[in-house]
Amino acid sequence: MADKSNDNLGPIGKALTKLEQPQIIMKMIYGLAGFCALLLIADFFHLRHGKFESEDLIGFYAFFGFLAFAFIIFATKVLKNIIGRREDYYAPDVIDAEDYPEGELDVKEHGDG
Amino acid sequence: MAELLHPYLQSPVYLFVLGALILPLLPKGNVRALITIIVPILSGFLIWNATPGLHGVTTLAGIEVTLMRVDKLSVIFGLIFSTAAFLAAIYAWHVKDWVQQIATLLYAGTAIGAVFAGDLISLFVYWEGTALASVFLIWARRTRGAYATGMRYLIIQIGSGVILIAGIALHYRATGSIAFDRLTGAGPESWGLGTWFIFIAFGIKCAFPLMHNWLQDSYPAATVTGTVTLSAFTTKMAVYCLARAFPGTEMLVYIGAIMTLFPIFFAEIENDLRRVLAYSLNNQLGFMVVGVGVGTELALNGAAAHAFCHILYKALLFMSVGAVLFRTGTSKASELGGLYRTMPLTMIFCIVGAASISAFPLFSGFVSKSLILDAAAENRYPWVWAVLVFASAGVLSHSGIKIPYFAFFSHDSGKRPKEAPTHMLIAMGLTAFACIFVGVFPSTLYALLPYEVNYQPYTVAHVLAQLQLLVFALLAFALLMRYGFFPAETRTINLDTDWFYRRFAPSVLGLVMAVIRTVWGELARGAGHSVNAAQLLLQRLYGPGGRFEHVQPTGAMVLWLAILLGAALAVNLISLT
Repeated sequence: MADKSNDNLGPIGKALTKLEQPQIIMKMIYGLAGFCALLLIADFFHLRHGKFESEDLIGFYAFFGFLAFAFIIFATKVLKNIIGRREDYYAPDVIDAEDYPEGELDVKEHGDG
Repeated sequence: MAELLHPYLQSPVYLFVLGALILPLLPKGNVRALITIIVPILSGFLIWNATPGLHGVTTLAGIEVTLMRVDKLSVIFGLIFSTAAFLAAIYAWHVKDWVQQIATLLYAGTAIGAVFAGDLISLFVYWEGTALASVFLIWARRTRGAYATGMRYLIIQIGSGVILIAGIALHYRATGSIAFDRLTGAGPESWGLGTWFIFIAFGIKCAFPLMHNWLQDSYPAATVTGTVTLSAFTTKMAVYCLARAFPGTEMLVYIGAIMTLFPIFFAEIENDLRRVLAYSLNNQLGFMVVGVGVGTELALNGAAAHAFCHILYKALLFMSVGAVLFRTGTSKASELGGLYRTMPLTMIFCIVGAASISAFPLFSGFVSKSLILDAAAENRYPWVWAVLVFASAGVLSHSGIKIPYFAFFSHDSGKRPKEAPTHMLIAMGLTAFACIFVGVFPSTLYALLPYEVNYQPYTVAHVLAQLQLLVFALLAFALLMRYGFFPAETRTINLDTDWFYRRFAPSVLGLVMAVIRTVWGELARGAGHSVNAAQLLLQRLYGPGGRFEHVQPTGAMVLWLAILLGAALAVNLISLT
């Protein structure tokens, strides 16, 4: 089942596989960083008059977003060590350790009829 | 007869009951599926054309009940519930299992009945109805795990109903009223026990912190289509009830803030993408609960608007992950990845859902969430406001990025599933269209809200602020991913508060049982000695060589009878004197 071929893909799939190269991914990250810079610069030209003083600081939302995301990722790494358990921890009275019944599904490969 | 039925025909519930009754009589196949699609359309039509006021007032067992209270708050929930049932029915076109079809109809019907209930008694009936109907969507998976999960779900849901009816009884005794209206004008210090019970019953179904885990336990255990249906009704019915009975209760502001916060972390480490969405659902409910707690017109508008948008984009996300499960047999992030190649349309719809829940401008979440945030800020809740902004970045992390990224991008899992079936694509396409439509033309949604809206979401300041928050969070994601800090998905589960009743309580109970068993064993051993002694005595009297050995059994019988009669006579004599 796991043929990793990229043959016979539809137009969207084919177009997106072309993007999956390290140098293009790096370019996309630079593009994202550039967009971030533009958004930050826009703050200098448009003064916010928010409900709280802190909101009016230049780049308040930018830093908040960046730091919040980074905090969440690092915090969850710690949390996972504490509360993560094997899938069969509650087995057998739980769905995590069992397969989804085949009859309910319509598992098909790309190109199947 | 017509006179008798008239009140019941006012509420759209009868359409769903009728549909559920007719369905099994029809031939198997598309005709049945058609019924599940037509009923919600008729229901929506009925609700859209209902005249404001109280309808379907009737007397049941001496109590006056109101089956159809039409005002703007109930209408917006009724409309979105009908829409959700309609979209879920299209998505479930392939389902041939009539149990699921009937359960879906009755579940949607009772939820709609609940939002139009004008009194607490009919609310209770529908409240329990949703519990009973919905559990079949979990059991329909027909595995041991699903059966056990369904039982846990049912116990908690019915438990909420039992607390509700106890609360209603106490409330009735204290006030003499069963009206389903604002139950309290003041803070919790003035609440009676009945009010507390009702509040807790609502809180359980609204997945308040520590009462929440039934949601994450059960929703991923339902069938592919069942989860889409489940995601729409129970919790939003509870939000409606809170908005109806407890608007402006300050405690809800803090409860809601906690609800937006803690599921973020659980969702981030969860492997099953359908459970990630269940945690995310909990987080979104938090925003609505904050809105109800702030309780101003702007805030209540925000809660209703957010419930409306949330039902759409959450259904869309569950649909897209469901389609992946339908085609690959798994919804686990660790087993998926790279599916964009062969499921590009599902991927696009999933991203529309992700952008909507993350509240990107031009998507539905943007125009509804901001009402709540502004209401919290206006009413000077700086910390709650900060928590909500933080939670908005958190939503992006688990629903906005994690769901589409791990299913459709990430590493190539080697899976090349076929694109989702046409009817699923139609359902997802319609839902995605609705998400974008509401985001681009917010006035169409605002016109439905309970109070007049004087709000402009698309100001330069607001769009810029939201874009900064989200795009910088995206940058953080890209950098963490690029430099290998982003945690990989592994086949694990999380412990949550349900550990206390699934592991801790059974082990304590096991200990207690062991103690009881030991004590009982010792007692029985003691009792055994006494029985043995009695047996020995009898044997000595009646056995071979015993004193009564030669006495005929009838003779002994007569003797004992005479003694008993004598005793009865003596008792009689004593009682006479």
